[in-house]
Amino acid sequence: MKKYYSTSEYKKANKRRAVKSHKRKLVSKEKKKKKLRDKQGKSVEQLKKEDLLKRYIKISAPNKFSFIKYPEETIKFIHKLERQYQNRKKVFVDLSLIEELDYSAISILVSVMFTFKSRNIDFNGSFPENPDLKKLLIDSDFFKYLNRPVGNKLEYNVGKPNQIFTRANKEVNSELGLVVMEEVSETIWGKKRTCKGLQRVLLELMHNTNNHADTGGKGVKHWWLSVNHNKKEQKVSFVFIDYGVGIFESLKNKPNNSKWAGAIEKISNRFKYGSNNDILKLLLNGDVHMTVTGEHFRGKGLPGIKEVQDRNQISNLHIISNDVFSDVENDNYKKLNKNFSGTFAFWELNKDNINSEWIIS
Amino acid sequence: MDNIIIRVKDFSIVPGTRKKDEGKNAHSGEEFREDYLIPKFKEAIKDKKKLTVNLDGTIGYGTSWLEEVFGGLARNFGKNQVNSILEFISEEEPYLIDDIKHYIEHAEKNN
Repeated sequence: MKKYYSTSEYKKANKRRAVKSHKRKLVSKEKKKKKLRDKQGKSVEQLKKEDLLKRYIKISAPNKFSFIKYPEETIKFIHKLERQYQNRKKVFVDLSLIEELDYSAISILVSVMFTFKSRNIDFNGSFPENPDLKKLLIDSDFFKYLNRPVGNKLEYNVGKPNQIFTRANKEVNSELGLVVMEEVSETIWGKKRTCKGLQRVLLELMHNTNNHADTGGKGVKHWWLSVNHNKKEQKVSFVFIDYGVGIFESLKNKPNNSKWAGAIEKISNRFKYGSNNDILKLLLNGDVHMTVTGEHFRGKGLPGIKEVQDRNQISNLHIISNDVFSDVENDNYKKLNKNFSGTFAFWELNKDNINSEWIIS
Repeated sequence: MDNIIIRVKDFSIVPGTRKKDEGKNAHSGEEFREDYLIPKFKEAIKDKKKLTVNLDGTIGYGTSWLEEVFGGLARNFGKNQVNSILEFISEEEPYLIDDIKHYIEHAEKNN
C-alpha cells in the first residue's frame, strides 16, 4: 500500500466522503421509494397526465365562472393568464372544480386559448367534474382545439352552428350578420326574420375593435363573437370580446388633431365626474358626444348601440371595459376594483324583440 | 318629372364599413358613395331632378356607413345642394332619416 493512503488524514477524509455518499444514496433511495409509492394505484394515463402537467403553469379557473355575474374574479383570472402569455409560458387551466359556468366565461376561455395557441404557446385544461358544465364546454369545441395547432390567422370559426358558435376576425365583416341572423331567427321565431338592431350592434362593435382597440393602428386586434342558442327558452345570447386597450384607454390616447382629443378631461370638467362608470353612462346616453364634439350624438357608435336596446331590438345589454361594469338595461353602472384591458359586450335576442320579415324573398 | 331612385339593396343587402380598407368584403359607404350615389347625384343635378335614396331591403346599417355616404356627399357638394336634391324612403327604419339629416347638417365638422 502506498504510504499516502495509509495516513490518518486520508483515512479521515475518506470516511467523511463515504458517510456523505451513503447519506446521498439513502436520500435518493427514499425519493425513488416515494415516487413509486405515489405511482401506486394510478393508471398509466394518469401518470402520463401528471408528467405532462409538470411542464405547465397551473391556473385554476374561478369556481363561479361568469364574466357578467362575477366580473372581478374573472378579470383576476384573465390577468393571471395574461402574465403567462407575456412570458410565453405554457398554461394548464384547471376547470375541474368549477360550480358555475356560463357563455360569457366560455367565450373568455375559447378566445384566450386561441390567443395562446396562435402564438404557439401551449394551452391545456381539464374537464369540469360537473357533467352539465362539462357538456357545455364540449359543445363549445374548447377541448377539440386544445390539442391541435390553430395557426395565426385573420379569421377563426369554432363550435357548432345553432348551439355555441364562436367566430373571430380583425376586420369589419357585414356579411357575418346575415349568417348569424338566419341562424338565430330560426331558433327564436322558427323562421328567418330580419333583426336590424342586431346588425347595428355587430357593426358598431366590430368597427370599434377595428378602429380603436389598438392605439397603433387599424385592424390589429381580433374580435371574438360567440353566439349561443337556447332553443328551450327561444332566445339567443351573444358575447363580443376584444383584448384591446378598452374604451377609456382609447379615449385617453386620441391624437391631438382628433375631435376626441382630451375627451376625458372635457367630461370631467363639464360634469365634475371622476369615475369611468359615470362616464360610460354619459357616453352611452350621448351626453359625452355633445360635450366633447359640440354635436348631438344622434346615431353615433356607442350611443347607437344603446339606442338599439332602447328601441327593444335587443335585450339585457351588458358592457364591461377597463374598470367599468354596466348592466345597461337596468341602468346599473359599477366601478370595478380590477381593470379589464379590452371591451366585452353581452346581449340577448328573444321572441319579444322587434323584428321584421326576412329581407330576401 | 320623375325622381331618380337609387336603392341601397341593389348595391348590397349588407352595407358594412365606412372605408374600403376596413374589410375584405367591406360593402363600404365609401364605395357606395363614389360608385353609385355620386354618378346618380350628378345626373340629378344635370337633369334638375330629385334623387330618392331608398334605404329599405337591407339587414341594417352601421352609423359609420351612413355618415360616410351622406356626410361624405355633403362634404363633396355642400349641405345646401345635398339637402335640395336628396329625398329618402325608409319605411323599415324611419329613424334613419333623422340620423342622415343630422350627418348632412354636421358634415363639415366630421371627417
